[in-house]
Amino acid sequence: MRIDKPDFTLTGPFTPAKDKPSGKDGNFMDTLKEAIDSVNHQAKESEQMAMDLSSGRAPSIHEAMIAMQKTDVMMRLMVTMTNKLIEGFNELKRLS
Amino acid sequence: MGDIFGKIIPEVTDHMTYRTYRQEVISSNIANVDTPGYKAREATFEKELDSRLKMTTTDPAHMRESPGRPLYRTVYDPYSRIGNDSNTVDIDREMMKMSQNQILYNASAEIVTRKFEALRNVIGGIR
Amino acid sequence: MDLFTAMDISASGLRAQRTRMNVISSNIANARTTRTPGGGPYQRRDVILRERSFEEALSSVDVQEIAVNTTPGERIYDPGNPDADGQGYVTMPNVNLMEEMVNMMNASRAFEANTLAVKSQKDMALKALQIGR
Repeated sequence: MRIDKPDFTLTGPFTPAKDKPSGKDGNFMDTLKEAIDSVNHQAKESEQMAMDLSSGRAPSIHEAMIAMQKTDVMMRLMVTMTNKLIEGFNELKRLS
Repeated sequence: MGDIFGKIIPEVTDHMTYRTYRQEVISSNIANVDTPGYKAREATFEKELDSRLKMTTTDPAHMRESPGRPLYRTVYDPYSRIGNDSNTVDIDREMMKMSQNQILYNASAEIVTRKFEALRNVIGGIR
Repeated sequence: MDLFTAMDISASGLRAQRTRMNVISSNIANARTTRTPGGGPYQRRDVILRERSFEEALSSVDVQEIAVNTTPGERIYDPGNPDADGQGYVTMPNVNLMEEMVNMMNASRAFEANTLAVKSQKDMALKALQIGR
């Protein structure tokens, strides 16, 4: 089994400059909403898998555990991004 | 946002699913070590086919595709030999396969854990 | 599609081998039994195993039947024996002790292997629960 170097490239909804025209109003808010939705979706999915495991309904242990870890990481990312956002707004307030 | 996980996590998850299934197949072989007429099976992962297994899979009579698991084929183990009662299970070989399977499953679990750890370090914690 | 199925499969193996060991014990214990309630000497029991297929390539194992082996045993000249017939011959049980000992060893080994399989599955499951820890 080859073990690749860690892949930390952030792609997808978090690089709005790539796939959306720049300077469009509300663009970043849409992106943020998409991100929140996807975290929500992941959280629901992993919760379902955890419940299936716990009740013995669909006991794929590794899939449930991996899903829970994914949720954890995505939420941490969400919190970090939100904090940065707030920092950014505060910066802007100070400057204006 | 799910893209931050790259290719590794989905692939290793697949590996673990395959190893789980292979454990079931090996358990079947061990349970049927004394069943007359039982032929030993092996679960193959598309990317890991060795040349001898490849030869066996081209014979449709020997191959059973598992529904819902397109990545695996279960074949009659070509390394097994005919013994009494035309049973082909070699208990020593099955024990070896099982050890190997368990170690690789555990290795995958470890790899995925380290990967998540690395991601968490990069992203930072809950503040 | 999971380790619990594997455990069920191994459990069926444990049951089958345990039955074999019990039957072999009975054969060995009665290797010299020349009189049974039904009359006549003890006849060896054979355990017939059968594959039980439940998914594409997965199978557990069943005891199909515990069959009485009707092959007549050896006739030994022993006129002093209370079970001797008119000519002084006693029909012995059709149990070959050597064969039964070998069968016992095999059954014991197979039982052990199924036990190790269960250990292995449990180890894998517990390892999976550690993911992310």
